[in-house]
Amino acid sequence: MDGTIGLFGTEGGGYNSAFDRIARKEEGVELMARTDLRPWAAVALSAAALVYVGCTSSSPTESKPSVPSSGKAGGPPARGKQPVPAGEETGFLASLGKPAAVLVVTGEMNGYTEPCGCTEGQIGGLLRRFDFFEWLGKKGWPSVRVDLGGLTKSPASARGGFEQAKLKFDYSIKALKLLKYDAIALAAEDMKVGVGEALALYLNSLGERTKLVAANIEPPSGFESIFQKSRIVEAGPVKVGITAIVDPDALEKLSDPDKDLLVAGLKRPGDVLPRVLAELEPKSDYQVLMVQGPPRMARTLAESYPGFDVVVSTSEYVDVLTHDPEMINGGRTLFLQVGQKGKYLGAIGLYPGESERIRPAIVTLNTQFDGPAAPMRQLIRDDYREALRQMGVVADYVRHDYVGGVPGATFVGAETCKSCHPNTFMKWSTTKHARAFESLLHDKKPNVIYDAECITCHTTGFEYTSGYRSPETTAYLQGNQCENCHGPGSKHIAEPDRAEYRTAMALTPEKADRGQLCQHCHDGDNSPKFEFGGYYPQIAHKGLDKYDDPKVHRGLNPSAK
Amino acid sequence: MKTWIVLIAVVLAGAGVAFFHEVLWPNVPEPEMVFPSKPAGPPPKLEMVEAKSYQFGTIPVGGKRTHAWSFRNIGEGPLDIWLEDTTCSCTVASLKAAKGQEKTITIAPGQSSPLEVSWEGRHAGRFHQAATIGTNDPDNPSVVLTLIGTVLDPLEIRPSDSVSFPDGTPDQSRSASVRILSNDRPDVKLLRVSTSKPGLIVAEAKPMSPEELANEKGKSGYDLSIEVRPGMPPGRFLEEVSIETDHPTRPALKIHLSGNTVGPITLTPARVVMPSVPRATGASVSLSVVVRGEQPVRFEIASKPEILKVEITPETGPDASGRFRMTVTVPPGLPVGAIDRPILLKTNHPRLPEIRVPVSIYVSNRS
Repeated sequence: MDGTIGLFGTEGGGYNSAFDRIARKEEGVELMARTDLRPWAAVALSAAALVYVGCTSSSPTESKPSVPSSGKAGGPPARGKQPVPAGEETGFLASLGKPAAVLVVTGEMNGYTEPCGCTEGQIGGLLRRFDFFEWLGKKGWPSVRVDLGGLTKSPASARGGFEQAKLKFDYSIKALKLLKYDAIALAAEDMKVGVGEALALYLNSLGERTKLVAANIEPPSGFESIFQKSRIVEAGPVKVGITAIVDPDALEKLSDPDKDLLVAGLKRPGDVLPRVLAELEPKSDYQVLMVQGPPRMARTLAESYPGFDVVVSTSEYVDVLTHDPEMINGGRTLFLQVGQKGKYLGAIGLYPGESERIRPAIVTLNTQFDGPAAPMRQLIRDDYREALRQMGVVADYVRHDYVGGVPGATFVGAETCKSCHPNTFMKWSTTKHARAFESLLHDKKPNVIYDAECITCHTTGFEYTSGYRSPETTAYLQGNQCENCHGPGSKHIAEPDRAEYRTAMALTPEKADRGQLCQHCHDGDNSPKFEFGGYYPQIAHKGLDKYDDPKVHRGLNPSAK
Repeated sequence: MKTWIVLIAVVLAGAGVAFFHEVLWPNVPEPEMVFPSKPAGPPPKLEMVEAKSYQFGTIPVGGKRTHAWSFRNIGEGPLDIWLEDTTCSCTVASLKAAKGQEKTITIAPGQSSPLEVSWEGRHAGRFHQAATIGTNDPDNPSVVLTLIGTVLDPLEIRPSDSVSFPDGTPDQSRSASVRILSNDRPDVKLLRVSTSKPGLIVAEAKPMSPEELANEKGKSGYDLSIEVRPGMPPGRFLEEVSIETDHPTRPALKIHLSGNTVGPITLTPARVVMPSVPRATGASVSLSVVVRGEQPVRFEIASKPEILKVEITPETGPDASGRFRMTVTVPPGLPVGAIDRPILLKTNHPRLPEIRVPVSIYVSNRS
């Protein structure tokens, strides 16, 4: 009997209606238990279960998109809930009704090709974006796909360093090509990988369909095939005119020897938009302007050129302020911000000839879009990380000398510290810090130990000349060890009683807290719930060792790791 | 025989039950596909008087703020509210439940209940946090409550703690400056300023004038000038300025410096990386070659992996002087495997007679 019930339970597990079914089956079992037909009933119920499972269950590997609904996680308790009959739609699909086409707007991915950070429960990511487009495809709705640019963040501040930031930018372009985007606005932030570099990557990776759009730049010599001032894209019966403006001041501020490629033909928005709009209006049903500049610039342009039906602005905040998009110019123009870090997208239903010509929806890319997304998974997980491995971004990371500690000190590793601080070492070895590198080896994503964005917080002294480089050369610096907080220890271990060396490595919890030392890794993306008072007790190690053994005062040879 | 007849009958009966089960309780494809039903009894009605967005204004790092919204039930049935979703870090204490569980508050008709949403500003910068509250009011199935404001760093680096220097040659000096500004103390002192390359990178701090402080709306501050002196080796650099202060909550600051010291000829991208080239179609990639200075330069492909096709041609157009394009083609039909021998270019430039271009190509069976 247990086995029979188990079959039902596992098949539908996890929601109330399933529990209701189990309860009904259990009542049935109780009745049957008092009859002579119990063995037959077991067979019948088993067979019924098999028929039932065979008819209704789907393979977990079946290639189908997930089911989008309201875009919200969680839900109410049992009261007030009921299952949706198969085929009924909720959320953005229902809100769009039957559009002639859909304009999909994304932007400001800022390098977040996967959901931000390494904690669970984050939203966004290209895999989910792929799944969203799968849904659009299943609906049979023609679509126009535009991106505001801002694919990456400046390599100068990227956690993974220059080379990784550039490579990620390249794979972001490849991803938009895979997603069949029609236009990407040129962004000054994207040019920070190097103007020549960025244009070369666009040239190599964009493909035929996707174009880089900027109305106020003359296409640089040699890049005419990927550059357009505006374009008209047909989606089913709808023609959409697309153009973009890049903030001239942001381009002028670039410190790049090749910026003249763009700046030489740079014009103010007001000098080009009237003509571009006049060209688009008679040839297209809708006109879309993307503004790669401050939101106030986008608003001014939207108000100055009310002929645009949709004006896409950069976002002031990471998350969208409202799921009710803003209509301006007396309801003529949709003023749209889709947030940052690729967490949301705008899906705008287009209804030419109807009184309500556009109907927008903001879609949250959450777990409801966790479909297989195999081609995107191949690109941004397998190929991208394989490229990281091949390029050796971790081993070749541009490192520098440690500042602020004992001049000339180098990293020695926790095993060396253990010689004189055995109890402190024991305490550390029970913490997650000690297993930080091991956790990467078990990550479901491939080649994570070759990803500098990950390795920087899972090894010791990564960004410094004598810090972690590779499993082959610096295995003794794997994990988040003593010296990440206390600084490199070679001088101290050689002369343990020298006061200035000990002072340089001394660190109190108060000082760590005030200096926001932990936030280097426990930041808003990767450890949003971090709070020093709650986390520090897990690693507290004050006064665990005594130093009355003469050997701890003799010193060690720093080169003997 | 009788046994088999009974057995078949029972199996058919079971299958029939399963069939009717499907009809009576349709299959539910995903747990997410649930939504509030219309209540059987009289409906509740949610009333919220104040705006759903609340401006916290400016708060210090570590400051915690809470705002309470009043949920009033002006309908005739009980109003249920529950937490549907939050952005990363705001909390709704009264709806907090154990992990994996849900908690609901029921508000009787005519009654109100405050709902407090809290947020602690742990990281400097503007913030926008949201909590989505689900309800069984058929006209308001979900309500998004948002908290907006700015977390102010007590000791701020403006415009940014990342400084990017323009590309330069090894014999050039480059400089940049930032401001270190205290938003809460009039007498902050910088105790020590040091750099990761003491001989080649120099940083000096000078107190800001009262007028500059007034413009920046700071209590005290410094202009920090940073110079990268001649002698930086070619290649990318990522260095650091470290600052110790007497500020009680910001005893240490770091400024990240980045830049590139270039030679007379640069290639972008600097290497050929093609991690998965379909063997059926092949692929090609192009590199931009820029020669700095007036001297005309000739290129020769001295060596390359034999199976690759490599060409260098001058760019054409009005601003193409000194610009070349190098195209690397992986022809179709190559065997699956790695190609990793570098391409070697010879030039007639006196300071750079040879350029080595690393190659990482993998030909795969993928279509």
